[in-house]
Amino acid sequence: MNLNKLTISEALKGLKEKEFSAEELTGDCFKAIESQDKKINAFITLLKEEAQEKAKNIANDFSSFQNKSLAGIPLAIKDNILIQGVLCTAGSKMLSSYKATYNATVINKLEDAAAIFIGKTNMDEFAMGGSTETSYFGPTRNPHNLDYVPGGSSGGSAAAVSADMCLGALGSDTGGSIRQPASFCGIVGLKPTYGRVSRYGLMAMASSLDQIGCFTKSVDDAALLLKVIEGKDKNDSTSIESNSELIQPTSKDAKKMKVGLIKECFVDGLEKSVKKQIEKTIKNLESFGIEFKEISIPHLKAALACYYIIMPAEVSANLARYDGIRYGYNNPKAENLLDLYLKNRTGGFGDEVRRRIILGAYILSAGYYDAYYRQAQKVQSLLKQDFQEAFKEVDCLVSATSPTTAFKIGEKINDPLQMYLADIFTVPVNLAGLPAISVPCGQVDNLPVGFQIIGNLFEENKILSLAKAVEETNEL
Amino acid sequence: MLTKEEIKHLAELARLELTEEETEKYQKQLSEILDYMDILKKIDTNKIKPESLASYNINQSREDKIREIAEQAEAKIIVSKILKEVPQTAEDNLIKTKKIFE
Repeated sequence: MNLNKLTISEALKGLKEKEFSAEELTGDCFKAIESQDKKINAFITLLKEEAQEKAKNIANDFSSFQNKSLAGIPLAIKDNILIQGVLCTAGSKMLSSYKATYNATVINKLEDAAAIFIGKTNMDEFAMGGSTETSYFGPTRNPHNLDYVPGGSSGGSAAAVSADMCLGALGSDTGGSIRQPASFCGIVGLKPTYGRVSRYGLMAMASSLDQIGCFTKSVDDAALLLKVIEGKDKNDSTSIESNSELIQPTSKDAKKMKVGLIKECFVDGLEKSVKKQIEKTIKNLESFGIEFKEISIPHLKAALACYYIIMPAEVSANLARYDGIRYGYNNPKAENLLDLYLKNRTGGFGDEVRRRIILGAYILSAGYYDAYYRQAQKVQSLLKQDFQEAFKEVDCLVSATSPTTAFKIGEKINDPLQMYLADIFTVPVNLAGLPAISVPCGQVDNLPVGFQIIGNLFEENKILSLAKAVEETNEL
Repeated sequence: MLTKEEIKHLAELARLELTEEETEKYQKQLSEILDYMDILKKIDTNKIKPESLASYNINQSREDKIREIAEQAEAKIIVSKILKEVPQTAEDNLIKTKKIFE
């Protein structure tokens, strides 16, 4: 039996009913990794010994772990989230030998729930990219077709779940880095409300937008994982205790919903074949009893430009800390302090990271700050208002997650603007701090299409219920 | 269009060294990206207040209490873990770097 193919909910049931042990479950995941990951390259670091030992402990004494919500579940973790004592590279040469000195809060929470970490996953360098091609450790490949990208930046996590090398995974989403790869790899990807999950121990990229979330094979599993990792944390002052408790999502709850189709997302850039698939999904939901109406988010057209100002500005500030003095890449040949900074940073950072740091430095420089950064913040205000207006009329908003299916490896890597355009439907959500999910809704030429559902702040219950309805109506 | 000199100056501010070829590449790519940003200039924002965070979470405060410091032994372990990551150290747990003043 291939236990690695189970969903988290199915595996929990099987473990509880003693159909198989945690050891067998973890063992099957490593078998899948050994047979596939040479080609896919989803992992940077494997934690085989640690995982097997933990699985054995759980298997030997299952009754004392039984009340833990993820006892014995093998998960993969994006390589920008710290696990104490384990290599944490952020996909960069800068940190290629850096071992984390403490645990991220989400890691502590998953450990408390008795989950098993099987490895750290590949990603675009410092989470900058939409294809996982900017990783120092080489690109990850899409399990559906190895010539294609898995999306990014959390491409390793998405590919690992999609290829059944683990049961679920954590990623981070600053402008779509969970939802877009989930869409390209045909799995569920959830980006929670900004602040719902602590970012303590997540390497900062653009702090006002970064959010940890999860990849799973089912909507139920996404709710399950979020329930474990959410909550206010004294170590992250932007984290908030949600006052709406997560409930088991059911499609029945979606039946009463009014859902908005974002008008600006059904225009030029959207590939015809993707559009067809989205419309088919909407039709299914309509026959299920859900009411749709067209909603305009007027400033959506400006969201990508807004994002590519705010994000690099924060990147240039956040990545100033990497100097190779206290940790990270260090070139011993430096002659003086300036030379040390230049050699370590130039030697440690790759092309895309450098491009964004320079862009951020430009945007924040005197004379341009008002024209770019301040104007972008004002447009961000307008965009938030648009969303708040929309949620007065509807429960959720929907669109395609990405305007296209996965593209070929190498296709966009030399054209940054084209690469950025793949984020056009996902970045508005981060700018407004909202929760959103990508749920699979069929395929085009054997490549998956993702359906994005956006909710109001802390209304994860609504997007999960609607996602569940997508899951069920697509099965019919 | 950004000039080559501007790119060189920005790179220096960000403590990055660029080859002539990279300077030209970034000049072209960043100019293209900035042209795309022009869409923002067309939006009337005269009456709008800039938003600083995506968060709706303001003024998080806590009581200013002294916390128990870690046990001596525990503190030593933490320090040694951190020092293990330091590329160049000197005696007495010091981090070694270049002179700041000439």
